[in-house]
Amino acid sequence: MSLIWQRGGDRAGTHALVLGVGFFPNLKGQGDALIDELQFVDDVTSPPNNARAVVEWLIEAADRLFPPLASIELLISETDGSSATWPIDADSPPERTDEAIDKATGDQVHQALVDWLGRAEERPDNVALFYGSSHGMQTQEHILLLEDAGAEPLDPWRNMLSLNHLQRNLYAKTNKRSVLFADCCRDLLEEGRDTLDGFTGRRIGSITAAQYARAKSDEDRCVYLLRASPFGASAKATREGLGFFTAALLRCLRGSAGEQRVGFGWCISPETLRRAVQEAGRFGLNIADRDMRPEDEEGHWVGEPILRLEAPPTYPVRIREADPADVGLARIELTHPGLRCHLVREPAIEPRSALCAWVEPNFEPYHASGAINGGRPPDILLEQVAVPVSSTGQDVRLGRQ
Amino acid sequence: MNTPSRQATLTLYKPETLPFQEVHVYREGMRLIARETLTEARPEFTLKVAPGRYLVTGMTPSGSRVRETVEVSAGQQKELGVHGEGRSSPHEWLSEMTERQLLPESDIALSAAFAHGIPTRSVETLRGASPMASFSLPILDRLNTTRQVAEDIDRLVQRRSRPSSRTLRNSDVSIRSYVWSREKLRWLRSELIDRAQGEYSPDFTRLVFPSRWSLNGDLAESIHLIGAFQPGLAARYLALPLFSEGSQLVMSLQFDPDRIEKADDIETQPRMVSWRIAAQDPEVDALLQSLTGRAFGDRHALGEGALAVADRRLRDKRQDPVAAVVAGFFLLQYRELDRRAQWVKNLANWFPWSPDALVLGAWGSLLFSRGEEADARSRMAAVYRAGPPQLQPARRILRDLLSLELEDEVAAPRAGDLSKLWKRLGRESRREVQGGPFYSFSRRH
Repeated sequence: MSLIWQRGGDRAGTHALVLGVGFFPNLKGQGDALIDELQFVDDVTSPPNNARAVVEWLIEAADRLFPPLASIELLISETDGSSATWPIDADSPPERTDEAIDKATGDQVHQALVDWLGRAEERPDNVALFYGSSHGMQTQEHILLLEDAGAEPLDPWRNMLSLNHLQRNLYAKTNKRSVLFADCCRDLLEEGRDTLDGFTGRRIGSITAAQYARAKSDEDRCVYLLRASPFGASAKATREGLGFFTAALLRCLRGSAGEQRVGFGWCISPETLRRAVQEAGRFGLNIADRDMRPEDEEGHWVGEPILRLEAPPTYPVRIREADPADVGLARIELTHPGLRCHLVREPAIEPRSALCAWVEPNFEPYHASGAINGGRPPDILLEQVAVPVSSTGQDVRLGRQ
Repeated sequence: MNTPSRQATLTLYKPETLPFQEVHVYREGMRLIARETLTEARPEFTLKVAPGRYLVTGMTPSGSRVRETVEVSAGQQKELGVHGEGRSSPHEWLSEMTERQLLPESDIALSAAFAHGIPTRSVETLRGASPMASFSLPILDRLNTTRQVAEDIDRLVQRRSRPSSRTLRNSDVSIRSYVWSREKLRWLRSELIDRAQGEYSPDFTRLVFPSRWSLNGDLAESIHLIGAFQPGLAARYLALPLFSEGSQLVMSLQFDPDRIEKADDIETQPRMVSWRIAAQDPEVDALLQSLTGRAFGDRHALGEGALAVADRRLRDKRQDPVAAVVAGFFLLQYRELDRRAQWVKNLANWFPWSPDALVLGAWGSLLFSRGEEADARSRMAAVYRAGPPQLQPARRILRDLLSLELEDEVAAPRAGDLSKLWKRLGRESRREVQGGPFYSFSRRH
């Protein structure tokens, strides 16, 4: 079964659906009816890892979510085709008797969508949270592949999910707020194919244009979608096996983003999340800027934030040489006398090894400086730059003095 | 007998150049004690605080922050303008370094020396009397020396003719302008670029485009595009809105540090143009930048004053239809469009040459009254002739509406302009470059 975690109670809750798809057995050259891009699709390691990491975080943050976590549906298609497991614990539903969890096939995902929405729609103040990681592709719609994509020759699109469809139709649901995260590529289809006419996919209902316009104008209704990459770009993964996007997102949700809101303390709301994830990836994890371009839709968010933080966040700071000719040559320092912070990056052969750090916000700015020792004195000094850190990350480039 | 107050009074006011600004006040330990939005209607606010040090941060509509530290003693009444240091103009937001308040003292001195040695020059002056349908600009960067700057200016002054490909250098950027032809359904070269006034400074080049109303009929009632061409790089295009008080395009050259792997790459890797469009009118520009920055994601933090600015711009659509479109999407973003039904309808009816106005009108038809789906469809179909929507929010809405229309089997006429528009959006999406509020794309020639 896919329901792995549930807490009852007559109160608003966050209901999560998490998908990680790394195995695509029907996309190995056997589907002549499929478009070229789907003829040969490699299995991938990061989506199952991403899904597990997101569930770990959800459970860890269960009581700090607004509203508190109420259920998790988890479906994983392991890269090698084996069955995924998740341990049984005190919050497992009673009907869950073994550790195996459902694979992310079209039918299983369809059932999970029905169950997830059934729970989320029980109250208007519930939050529906979706996380999906898989191969993705982009036409006019952003499509996420499920395990048995391509299995049905007469309907090759059936075992896929359109994130645009999901987002639009969540506006028609009883629960007024939803959050969607998607860590998957948005590579465009082959030259000449502009639309995916006849796309069926797995659906969660229908909404007319007029209903959509009216629902989207409701002041207290919001469906926030944050994706790993912009139109036409791939989503990549870290060496540790997590997607860049998911690694940065989790870093933010674990306390490397957020701001203070009167009445809530330190917290995270969707309207600042895209920027925070981008900064966490670029400045904190030192991911190349071109590989860290999350994109969101619908910045409007009302009411409660989505997460309360346990402590003030640390924000990412990246310090590097400004002049490309100096890259990697300087000894770079980041200091803060009041906080006894003294971080150093020695000259580095790897040109992208900037000084990356997570630092706490402070009234007084941090100080960045650098010097190049060309083998003999005197050193070539780089600029000394004040780095204010109060609510966002910072990217600093030091030129020569 | 009056005893002196143990409290202090701190009054914060926004810079005059900003139409609205969100202000946060922290006390020691980074504890937030106040969050307010200052507007033209309420440009200052006062709070009583305990004596001590406070950090005040102000967020511009584009999402950049400035910060000031202030110390107050018992009974003191202190006033503070939240503009940070070195901000003389709202368009200082255009510099990424300045935006992040990371401009070091030495850099300011360097820029000052540059400015002293090489006064800003008008491109119009540099071009002399020779009109050109496009021209080439060397866009300087902070690595160039004063001597190089002087040479570049001399070169421009002496040339007085259209640049040839033989004399182009890696740092040169050719700029052309285009206008949408509703008859031919494609972009055509235009002479709008000849109407631009340029400013040539050490760190950037600024082109100021004239008011829409100073152009002849065809150019005034059309949508526009700017193209940038650099040797060895794909051509890049950016929708160019023409506001009534003028628009400005600021360009600078930037290395992509991620592409520098070894020292030789500095010579061989081209520097790409980084550009940004702003409205000359700071009030309109604030609405425009907030469409991207979305710093005020929480509508309740926005305040009625900022909404009033957008309301007024939408109402005064005859004076500036493009500003009205921007205001419309601003209000839509904050779920405030539904109180402006007639204004949105009029905007689409009076300015059918604006695809963005038509998209807003289609949305309004669906939103404001039942049974007007046919009206919405006809407005969407009209977008096909009017051209590619210029604002990204308009493009997103249009895609959503078309997708819903085309999957609705009862309503959807699959042939005709709606279907052709859907296919064109698909083709355009293949080349789209995301980022910024305006439609942008690149293409190899």
